[in-house]
Amino acid sequence: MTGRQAAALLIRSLQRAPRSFALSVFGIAVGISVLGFFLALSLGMQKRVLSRIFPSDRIEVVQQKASVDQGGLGALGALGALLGGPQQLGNDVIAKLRSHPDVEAVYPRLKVAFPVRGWGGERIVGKPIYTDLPIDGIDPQAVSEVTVPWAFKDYVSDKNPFCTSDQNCQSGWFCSWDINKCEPPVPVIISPTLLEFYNGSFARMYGLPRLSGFLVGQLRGMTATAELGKSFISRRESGKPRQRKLVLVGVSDRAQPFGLTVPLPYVQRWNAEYAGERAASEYSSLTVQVRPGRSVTRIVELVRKLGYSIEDNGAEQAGLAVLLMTALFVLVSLSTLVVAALNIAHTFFRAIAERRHELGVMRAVGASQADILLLVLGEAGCVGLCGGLVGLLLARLAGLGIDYLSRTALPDFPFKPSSYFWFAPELLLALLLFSVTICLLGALLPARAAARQSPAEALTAK
Amino acid sequence: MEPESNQPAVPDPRAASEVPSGETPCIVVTGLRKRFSDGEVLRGIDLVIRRGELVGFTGRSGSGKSTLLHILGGLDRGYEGKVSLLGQDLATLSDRALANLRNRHIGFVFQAFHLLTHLSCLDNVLLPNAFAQEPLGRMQAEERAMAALTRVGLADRRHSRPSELSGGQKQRVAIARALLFQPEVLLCDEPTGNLDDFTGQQIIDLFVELNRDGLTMVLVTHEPRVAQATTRLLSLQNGLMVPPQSLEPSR
Repeated sequence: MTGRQAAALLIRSLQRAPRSFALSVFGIAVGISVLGFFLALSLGMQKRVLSRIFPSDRIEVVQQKASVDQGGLGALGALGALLGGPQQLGNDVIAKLRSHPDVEAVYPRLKVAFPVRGWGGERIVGKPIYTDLPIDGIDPQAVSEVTVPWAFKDYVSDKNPFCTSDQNCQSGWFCSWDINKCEPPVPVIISPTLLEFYNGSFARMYGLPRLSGFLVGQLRGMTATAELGKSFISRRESGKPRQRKLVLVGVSDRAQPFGLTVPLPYVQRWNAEYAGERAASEYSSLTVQVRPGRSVTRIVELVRKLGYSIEDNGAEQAGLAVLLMTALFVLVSLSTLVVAALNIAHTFFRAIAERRHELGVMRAVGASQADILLLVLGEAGCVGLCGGLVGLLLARLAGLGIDYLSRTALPDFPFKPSSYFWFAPELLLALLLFSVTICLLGALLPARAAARQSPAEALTAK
Repeated sequence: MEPESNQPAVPDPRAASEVPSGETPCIVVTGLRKRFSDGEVLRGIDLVIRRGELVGFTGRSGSGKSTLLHILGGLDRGYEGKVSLLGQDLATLSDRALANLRNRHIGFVFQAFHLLTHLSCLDNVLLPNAFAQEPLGRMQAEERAMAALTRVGLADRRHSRPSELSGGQKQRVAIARALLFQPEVLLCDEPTGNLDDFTGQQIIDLFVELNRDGLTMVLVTHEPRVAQATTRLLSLQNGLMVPPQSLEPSR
């Protein structure tokens, strides 16, 4: 029997009992829609929410914490840390990590180790905001995003022109009066997390404009003033206070979540001046970028072997929570599908009993056992395919409905996604295949029984 | 249930017809036995059917006529003995080969017509082509199917569903289906059993015509008028071939 002949017979056979076909399709569609809905929700949460909060393609390496609540090398590292102090994060560790085949890049990060306060933000709230500033320095190489109006790099140079006031400097540059040099403002990046926090909480609480897309673009070039060595909160002062202009140049997920991030050399110089040489030479943490498609597991092992820790940002727990929830709903969906498959088996056993004469005639006119098997499984496959397609359509519609309700009825909150679902092509294909497979499995026994029955018995059955 | 005889099978001299030397018989049966769970239905059948014969099997219900016909047509394989059809030992053929033999060389006509109700007459006639190892193209197959329907006088009902046909018309469609690939043998199980006298006679006339055209036919019947149309009448009793008693062939 050729594929075309089989298809023609299948179509006619399915057309004969549309109600039974529709019922079988419905049973499968319900299971697939529930399964597809929750899997797409899980993928969407991972991709659109969790990955934004906890990027999964990088890890943050920090010094070993003084804890013995770890096994093996971790405990040894902790012991070493207790006896001789934590191992420092220096260039030798960076070199070792960079040599790992799964590592794409390693970027050092350094926190400002002294008080900094600042003011600015008139373009957002209409008047200056005064606050202490948590500032991080990061290797400029780590920032791949386009930054305007200034590149995210160190602009300090001995060749910068002499000045006694801003008027001596070119447009956009400022005179750092403590060294009498013209300098561009210090380029600053902020994180999407900070924006989300502002939009989801701060802007809503104080009736301020939301910052996204165009408005964020408008804010680029906005300047603020930082005063090094002074604090609004603490009386602690270190070194001689001086001011630097800051300019917002972009948004990057490499920036620290809550604070400002500037090019590393600035922080190294400032730390050396205000907190000592050691504070300038030891990094606070290292951002390790994993190569695409590689697992972080082996890198984590190497980090622990070297005597360092991975910063626990809660990603593991959040991911596990989503995974558990997904697993629960997938179990429910699978049980629905098992029931549907049993229903398919029952339906096909009944249909085959009803069609014994028909199958007998087919055998009499030349159908082999394989032909009968193919026909029955083909019908089951059609049920699976149609059930899968309808189920996926239902799941997609339900997803669109939830997204619509979220957009219109839910207030803004940090990291609120435009869609909670991700119907990845691979997921859709896998679910379709699964749907067809479930139906084929359900129909396998009836199909074998149909193929194996004697044509003579089938023709003479009462 | 008929009483079973414990006597050994005795070959009936009428069961073996003269086969000219050099000609392969259409059907050769040797020592055929068939047992169901409730007893032995065929108890040693020897039979030779030449090409072009119109052989009739008679006998009471349960005598094994239909079982024999099913075995001859390769529809039932659980038997002892040897059955050769067109020179091929049916027991040695694979399922696929046997299906192909049924598809190309054997036609079946049943008492209950066994048309597929969801298909039109034309599609019912085309059914064997769906299972052919080398199916005809759509155009060629339809031409053949129409020729078969024309032969049975139902060309104008090609688009009708079986439910729209009379019993005689249904049987004609079933015969057209059996003729699609112009088989060498036509096996008919009580072909007029569900038809009135007039319609039944029309079907018998059609069989006679087909047989005159060279088609070998084996009919199972207990109707005298069908028996009279045969060229050789054989009778089965308690699983054995016996001389026919009341039904005599006329030709």
